[in-house]
Amino acid sequence: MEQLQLMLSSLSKSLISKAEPPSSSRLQEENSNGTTRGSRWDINLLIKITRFSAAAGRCVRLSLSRWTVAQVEEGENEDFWSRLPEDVKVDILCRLEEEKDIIGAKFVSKDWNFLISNVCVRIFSPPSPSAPFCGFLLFEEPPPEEEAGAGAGAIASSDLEKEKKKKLNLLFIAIGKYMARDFCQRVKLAQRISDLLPPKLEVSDIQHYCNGLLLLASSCHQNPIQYYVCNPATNQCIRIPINPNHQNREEYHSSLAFDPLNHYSNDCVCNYRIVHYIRGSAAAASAAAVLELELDVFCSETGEWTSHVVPLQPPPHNFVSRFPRVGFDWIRQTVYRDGILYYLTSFGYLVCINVNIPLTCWVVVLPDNAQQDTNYSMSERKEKEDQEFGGCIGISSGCFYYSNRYSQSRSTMLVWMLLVVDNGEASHSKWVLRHTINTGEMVEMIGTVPCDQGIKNNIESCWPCAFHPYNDQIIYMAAQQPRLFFTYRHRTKRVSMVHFPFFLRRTVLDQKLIFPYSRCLLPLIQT
Amino acid sequence: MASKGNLTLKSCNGKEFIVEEKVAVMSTTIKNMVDVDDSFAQGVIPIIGVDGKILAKLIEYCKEHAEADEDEEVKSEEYLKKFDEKFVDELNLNDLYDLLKASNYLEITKLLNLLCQKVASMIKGKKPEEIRRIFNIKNDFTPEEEEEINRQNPWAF
Repeated sequence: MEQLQLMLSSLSKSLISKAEPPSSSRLQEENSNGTTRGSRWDINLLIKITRFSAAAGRCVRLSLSRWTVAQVEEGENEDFWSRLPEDVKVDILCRLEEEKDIIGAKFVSKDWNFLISNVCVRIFSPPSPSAPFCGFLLFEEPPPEEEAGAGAGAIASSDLEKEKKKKLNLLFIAIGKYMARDFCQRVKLAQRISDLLPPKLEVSDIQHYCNGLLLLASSCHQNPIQYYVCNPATNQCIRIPINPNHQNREEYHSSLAFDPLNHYSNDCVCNYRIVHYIRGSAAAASAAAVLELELDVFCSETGEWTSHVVPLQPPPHNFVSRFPRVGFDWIRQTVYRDGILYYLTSFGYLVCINVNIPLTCWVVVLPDNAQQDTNYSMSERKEKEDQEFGGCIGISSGCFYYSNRYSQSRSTMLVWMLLVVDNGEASHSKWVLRHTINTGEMVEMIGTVPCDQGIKNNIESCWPCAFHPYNDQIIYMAAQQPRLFFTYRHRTKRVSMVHFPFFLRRTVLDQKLIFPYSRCLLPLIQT
Repeated sequence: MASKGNLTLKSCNGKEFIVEEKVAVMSTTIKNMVDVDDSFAQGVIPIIGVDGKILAKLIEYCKEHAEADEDEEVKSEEYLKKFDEKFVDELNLNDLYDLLKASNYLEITKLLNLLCQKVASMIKGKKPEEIRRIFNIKNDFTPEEEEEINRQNPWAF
């Protein structure tokens, strides 16, 4: 929260200084007929407003009206729309909610297209809190062989049918306002996304989700790897140029870095980066202490892949020796925020990569890493290290969160927030404990949820798996056998099922593959 | 001269309205003027660029809402909702423009929201040609530009 407030105050300061009446030269633009028309907003100002309103969590409504009113004095022959102050126009257009209305309005005139593409669409696309949080994208494992066989046998097992069965099934769980909409619409979205995806996808082909875009890799048997980026909101799925070096299927991991507010360009299209992790290797010079990450980065603006070797600095005590040189199984989850990709490792650290070239990379120790805690006895420390780190990272209300079960007492779950403390030149990260969840207390509240005893017992074995993008009071949890997916509210300690357990029989409830979906209305362009 | 607790507002065509202060300060702009400078509270506040007809409308709206804020029992939420609906339904495009401009200038947030919502509802579910007709907007795209937007948004229709 402190961070947010700081950001807000600095933004509003810059806005106020910008909102001074502009000089008359900028105010009046001569058009071809020689008549003056209302001023266009400075593009940087528009973006500042977008970011400001995103931070403030509301629609544009700023007191910029003073000078806009003054300059739109009666242009007698002009119509209703062109005489309106720009901020009122934006306010009106930002009240359109349906995707069809928003995009359709782009076709009305240049002015509308400009305002919608530059302001409204950004306000409505994540991570702006004005972007409606639609629900979760989940994936289903294909049905087990016998089941598929039985089904196919009944319908004379045509090849087509088999193909269908093989296809990855996507599940969309609606949340909040979207839940109220009719069921068909929800099924439609899941169907639409499934249709977009390249055929023969497997669960392992789903690489990452970031702010409305999905990153996919081609199915196992293809060499080199073909990447796809998919935007379900605009019904687009595009192929990424192949990098011939991406041959080995075993040793890579990729993630998507995309933020419509930060990666600004005049094109009003999605600009993103794909970070393809190859391996970590010890630097030649001092093999013991320094680690280098090998990465390939695809930049959508240039349409090209570039190779990078990024030294990890300074690696904390014991990190290098524990870091696996081969494979990518150590990456439990990846989250992108403000130009930084965060990799949650399976051994108690957070690897951070700043995707702005030149890439930089550093490590943050997780708050419950036993290495740092001197209160542990040797045996306890050993025990903790042996047990695998689970946990989940995510963004909520613009802040970075980490949650895990507390190993000392399995019935406790802790939620931490990452704060970046800036003291002049250097900045360092600090974890702040935000919530403590007692699964015992949680079960007592379950009385309000209609479910049987089996489910109640099961809830105690839950783990955190996602954060609500805009409400830091809500965390989503999952449990295994039967599979459950539910909401937990910190303030009321209340548990409520997101979906009927029946629907989740084969759903993959791995935090890596649970995506809080908000639509991104910026179009993708084939590069 | 207005009596204590009342303010005098003067439209651009010289019409004067005496309104209670609580009604006038629904406008943040007027509130700031009165707060900063006491002399406004005594004399006449000129409302630049707003004529008598529109100012009367603004005052009508502010009066209902100021009274509702003060006493919820007399004017319930439901009553206000009905009032708001009727208020915007009676407006033609010219009035709508004048009120939008005035409420933006005077920072009457509630009214501005209501009016923007009204305009947005006129856009919703319409095709671009219909929208252009309603607001009398000229299609200023060249065929090439139109093609470009079509290319970028292939799924729009």
